[in-house]
Amino acid sequence: MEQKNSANPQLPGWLLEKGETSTPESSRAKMHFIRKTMHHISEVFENEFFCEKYTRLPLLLQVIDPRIKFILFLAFLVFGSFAHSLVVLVILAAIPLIYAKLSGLEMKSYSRRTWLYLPLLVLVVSLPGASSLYVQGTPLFYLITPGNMELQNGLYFSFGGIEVALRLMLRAGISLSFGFLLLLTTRWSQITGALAVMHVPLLFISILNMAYRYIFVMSAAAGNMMEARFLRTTGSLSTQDNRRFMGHSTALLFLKSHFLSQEIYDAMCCRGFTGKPVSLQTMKISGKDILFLINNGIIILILIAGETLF
Amino acid sequence: MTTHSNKTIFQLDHAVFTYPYEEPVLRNISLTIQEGEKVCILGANGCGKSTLLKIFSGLLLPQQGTFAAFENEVTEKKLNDDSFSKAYHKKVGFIFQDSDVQLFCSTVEEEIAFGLLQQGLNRDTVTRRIDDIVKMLEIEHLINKAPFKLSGGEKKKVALASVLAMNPDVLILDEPTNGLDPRTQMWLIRLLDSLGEAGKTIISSTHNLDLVSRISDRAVLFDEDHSIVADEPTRALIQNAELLKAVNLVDESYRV
Repeated sequence: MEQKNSANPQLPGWLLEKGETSTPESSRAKMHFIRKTMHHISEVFENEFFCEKYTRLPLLLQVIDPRIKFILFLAFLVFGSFAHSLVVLVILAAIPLIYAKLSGLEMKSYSRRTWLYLPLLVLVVSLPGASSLYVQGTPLFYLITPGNMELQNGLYFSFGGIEVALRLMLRAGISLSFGFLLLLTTRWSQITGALAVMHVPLLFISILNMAYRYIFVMSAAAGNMMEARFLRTTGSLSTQDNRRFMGHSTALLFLKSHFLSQEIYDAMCCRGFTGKPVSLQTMKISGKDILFLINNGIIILILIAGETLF
Repeated sequence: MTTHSNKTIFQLDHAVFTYPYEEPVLRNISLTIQEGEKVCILGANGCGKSTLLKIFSGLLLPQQGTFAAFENEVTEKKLNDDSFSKAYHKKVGFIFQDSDVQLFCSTVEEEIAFGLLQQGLNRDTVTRRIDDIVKMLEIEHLINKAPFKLSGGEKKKVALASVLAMNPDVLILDEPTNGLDPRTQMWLIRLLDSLGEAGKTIISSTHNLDLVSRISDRAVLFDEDHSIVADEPTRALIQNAELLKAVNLVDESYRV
């Protein structure tokens, strides 16, 4: 058996030299890339803590059975997808805002998350399709007047075209609003528990649960990698270096997740897992759940009636 | 030292294990573990300790030689049989080195319930066992938390709870004190003492020579060539500084 030398290692000369004592220079703009990535990773955790903060409040939506919430919000979403009237869609868009207020959510943050980005993007993207190239009608305003640029009828937006674009934007916003409302007022375990009670295949739910759980493990690993890189980055980095680093990090995370998945499966087998997922969740519907269901049922009926009126 | 019966729990006979495209990680291993023993597997990094524990846990099987558990030979066919596999994993609990691997449910309660529900226990029994185990490990306040939000020590406690709730006869722990603060380490040692006194067989692997005599009565030492070089009472083994140095587990500064 060979025994390794345990004497103190001999340090090379350069390792004994003292460093500069002057204040280090800032590495400026290029450093932002790593900082920004670290910030995005930390947002994953922030979002989770944000959700956790609101799910604990004993207010309107938090005390409602998750199954009732899930079914009702799904009904609102389906109705929103078929609704044509702008008036009805605006009323439908107001419902999650009212519920968010009554459930103690911070309105500014909630509105920003639901209405500021995606719905506006949908509106901008759908504008070309809403022009007279696709939707004819009485011109509301002209972009190119008739006869100019070889366009006999010009290029204009009609009321019908604008209505189509607004409808798409409202539908996107409504979907996001109800989705966020469910996530912000219901714990993840309750959502998946509700899915299980509603006979969604347990295997599907287990995969969802594990994906949700390990997003955080992998985010923590990615965060640590970024921090380690950040601490060793004392100069400016070229875009090419940044791209290479991101490529390596992604590959490493992929390999790590592959190893982790095998270990997790082993851990599951060690506790008797043979491919049949099980759940502990049991839920009971109370009077307040039924009242909430009836109230919202009436709201949906009124909205359906509104469709015929407006 | 805890007394133990003559019933054989695990028996490896000339076992060899090799991961694909690699050198053997276990060479010609013959080892017998009796019921109620507290055994520690010692050795330098990469000597095959974790692989041996995985064989005991029924996750791997040696490619050469034989492996018997509870006086019956374990074969691939048997491990692929669901009823055998369930019964085996009910008897043998494995605590992974990395608790993150072991905590895959969305709440601590679900985590502890996982193995119990897999055993087909009724919900009242499951709930009662969860209540008992969280009280015993003093983790009642964590029951509704998501595992990823816990500290290292809390994760280890939940991982232990999830395995102990299944009441295994054999408890296998891979580097159990890794990443734990001194207070939690002492808590774990006391817990393992109690479990040992209750007649459980405890097999662990560790690098922590300060704690090894507290968690085991018998030590099995691996050499870097992946074979066993010593199998003797723990206190005697950790006194043998020359042998520990020879297998590169400690250096010159090691003092008995």
